[in-house]
Amino acid sequence: MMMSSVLTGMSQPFKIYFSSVLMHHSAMKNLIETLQLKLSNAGYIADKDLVTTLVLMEQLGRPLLVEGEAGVGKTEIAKVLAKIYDCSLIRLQCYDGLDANNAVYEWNYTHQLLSIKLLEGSKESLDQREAHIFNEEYLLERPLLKAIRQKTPPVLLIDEIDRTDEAFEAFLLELLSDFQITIPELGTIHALSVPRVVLTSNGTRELSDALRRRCLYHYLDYPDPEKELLIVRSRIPGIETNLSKQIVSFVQALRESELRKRPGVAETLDWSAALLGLGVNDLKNNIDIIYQTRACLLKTQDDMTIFARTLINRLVDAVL
Amino acid sequence: MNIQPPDSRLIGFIHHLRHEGFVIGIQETIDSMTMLNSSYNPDESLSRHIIRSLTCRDHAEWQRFDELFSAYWFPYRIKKNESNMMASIYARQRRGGIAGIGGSSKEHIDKLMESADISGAGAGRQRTISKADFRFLNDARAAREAERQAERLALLLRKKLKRRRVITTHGDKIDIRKSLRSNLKFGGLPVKPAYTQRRREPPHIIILHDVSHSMAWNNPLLFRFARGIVRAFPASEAFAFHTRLFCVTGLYRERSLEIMRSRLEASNHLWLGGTCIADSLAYFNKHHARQAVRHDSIIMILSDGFDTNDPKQLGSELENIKSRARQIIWLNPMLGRDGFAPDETFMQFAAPHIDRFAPAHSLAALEDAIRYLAGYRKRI
Repeated sequence: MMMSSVLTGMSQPFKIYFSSVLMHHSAMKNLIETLQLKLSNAGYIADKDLVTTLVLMEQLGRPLLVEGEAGVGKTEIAKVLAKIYDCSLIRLQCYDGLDANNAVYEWNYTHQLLSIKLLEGSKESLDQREAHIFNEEYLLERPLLKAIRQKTPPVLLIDEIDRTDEAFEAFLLELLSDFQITIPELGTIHALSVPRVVLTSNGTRELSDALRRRCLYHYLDYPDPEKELLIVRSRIPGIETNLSKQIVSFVQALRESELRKRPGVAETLDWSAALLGLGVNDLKNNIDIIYQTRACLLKTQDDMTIFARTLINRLVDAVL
Repeated sequence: MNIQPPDSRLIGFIHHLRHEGFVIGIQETIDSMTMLNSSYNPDESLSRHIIRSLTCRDHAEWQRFDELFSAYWFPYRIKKNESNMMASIYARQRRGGIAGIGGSSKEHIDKLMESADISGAGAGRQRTISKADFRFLNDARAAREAERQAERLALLLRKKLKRRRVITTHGDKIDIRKSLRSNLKFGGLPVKPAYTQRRREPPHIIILHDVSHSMAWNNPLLFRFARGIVRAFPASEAFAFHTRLFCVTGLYRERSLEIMRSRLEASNHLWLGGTCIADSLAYFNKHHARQAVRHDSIIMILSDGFDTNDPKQLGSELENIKSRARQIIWLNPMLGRDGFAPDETFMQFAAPHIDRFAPAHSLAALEDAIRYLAGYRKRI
C-alpha cells in the first residue's frame, strides 16, 4: 500500500506518527530484501520469514535456534552468514557427552606438569606457583572461548545442540545471554565482539525452556516445490529445466510416502548431481536409473525395501 | 466503537499468547514492540514473522502461531476450524456417548473440580489438570494441555537419566584431568587418583498400547505419553493392539502429531473394535518378541484389561513375555477410580506375572509411573 493512500484523511499529528512508523517498516523491508538478495547471491534461497528472523538476529544481537528435519539447510544458514558478512565460521559439533573441556577451554596439563617440575627448585610459594601454572599461557582455546575472543564478530555454529545433555545446555546459558565465560582460575572473560550465534537442532529431544528463551526461534520446513526448484537450479547450474522440475516433483511426492527418513534438500541436490553425471535428461523413461540411484535419496534399509519398482512407477505416473 | 491504542493491542496479543501456553518474558515483549516500532501494522506478513520469531519456542508453538495471530488480529477472517483433529476426536467421543464421559458442562466442571486438588487453587491451571481424571477433560483446550503435559512427562524421564560419567573416589576409569588437578599438591604425581563411573543406562522400554473401543476416551493422552517415551529413548519400541497387534514405533517417532494421528487412524481402525489382549500378546510373542525384547527390557502395557480372550491364555502369554524381559508394568486407566476393581480371574492368572500394576487415569498417575521408571536403573 502506498504511504500517501494510508495517510489520506488523517489529522496532522496522526500523519506524523504513522509516517514515522511506515518509514520504520519501509527501512525494515529494505533490510530484509537486501539480505534476501545477498543470501540468494551466496547460493542460499531463503523465505521472507527466515530472512526476517535473520534481520532480527542481527538487530537484536540474539542467538538463533533453528529446528527442522535433517537435510533442510539448517547448518547452511551459518555457513552462508559467514560468507555474506565476510567473517570466520567457528563450529562446535555437539555430541552425547560433550563437556566444557571440549567446548570452552582446557588446561595444557603436560606443560603445567613440566612447569611444576621446573619450579620445584625455586623459592616461589605454593600460591605463586599455582598462579603461574593457571595463566593464559597454559590455556587451550576451544570453539566457544575462541568465538568470544575474536575482534571481528564471527558466526558461531553450535550444531545439533539436541545431542548434548542438559548439563552442557545449562552451561551455554551464560554464553548466550551475557556473552561471557567464567573460568574459575582466571575469572570472567567478556566477549571482545558479540558473535552471531546459530544453534541447530533436529528435535531428537526437548531443549530446556531457559535455552529457548534466550534465542530467536525458526522452524525450517521442507521447501515447497517452487523454492526447491530454485535451490536445485541455483546449486546445480548445468541442469536442464525439464529434468529439474521432474526431480523436484518426484522428491516432493516421495516425501509424502511413508518413509522412515524422508529425503531433504541435500538429498535432492545429491540425486540431481548424480542424474546429471549419468547423462539423464528425462526421468520418465529411466525407471531403472531411478532405482539404481535410490541410495542418494534413501538412507535406511527399511526405506530401500519400500522403494520398489512398483512405487517408482506409481510416483512417476502420478507426478511426471 | 472501542478503539485501543496500538501498543495495548500488541500487549493484549502477548497476553493472549501467554494464555495459550506460550512462555513469553518481558524482554520478548519489549523486543516485539521495538521491532514493530510501537506496533502499527502496515505489513501483516512482516509483523507476523517478527512476532513469531520472537515469541515461539518450539515447533508446536510455531505451528499454532499463525492461527492465533489471525484469530486475534483478523477475527473476521476466521471460520471455525472443523478440521481440528483433537476437537473432532473429543466431539466424536461426546456424540458417541461412550460411558463415563460427556454430560452437561456444569456437571463436567463439577467433576473436574471434584477430581482435582482444588486446595492448591493458587498453583494454576496446570496443577488442576495434573490431578484431573482424563475422563472429565472434555474441554478441548484442557485436553490439549493435558496431552502436551503427558508427552512432556515422558520426555522428562530422559532428563532424569543422564548418561554422563561422574567423578567418584572409586570406579572403572581414571579421570586424568581431575587426578592432576587434585594432586597438584603432590607435585602432579597421582597419589590420590580420581575415577569416573558411568551413570546408569536408561531402561529399554517396550510399549504395548491398547487402542480398542473401550480405551477410546483416554487414548489421545496415552498416545502422547507413549509417543514421548518412544521419542525420548531411541531404542524403545511400541506396538498397538485391539483385535490384532501392529508395530507403531515408526509412527510414534513421526515428528508431526497430525501426520502421526491421521496415519494411525487411516490404516488401523483405531478405537472401533473389541479387544483380544491375549491373542495380541501371543502374536507379539510369536513374531516380535525375539527381536524386540532384551533381557533387561521393561514391558509397559497400557490397557484397561477388558479382554474377550480367556484369562488363562492371557496369564500364559504374560508368563512367556516375563521369561524374556526384566519387568512387566501394567498401567490401567480404569484403576484409581471409584468403584473399579480388576476382574478376579484377571488377578488370579495375569497379576502374578506383573511386577507393577498401577493407575494411568491422570497426569499425576503417569508421573508416578515415570518416577518408578527413573528409579528403576541398571548398571552397565
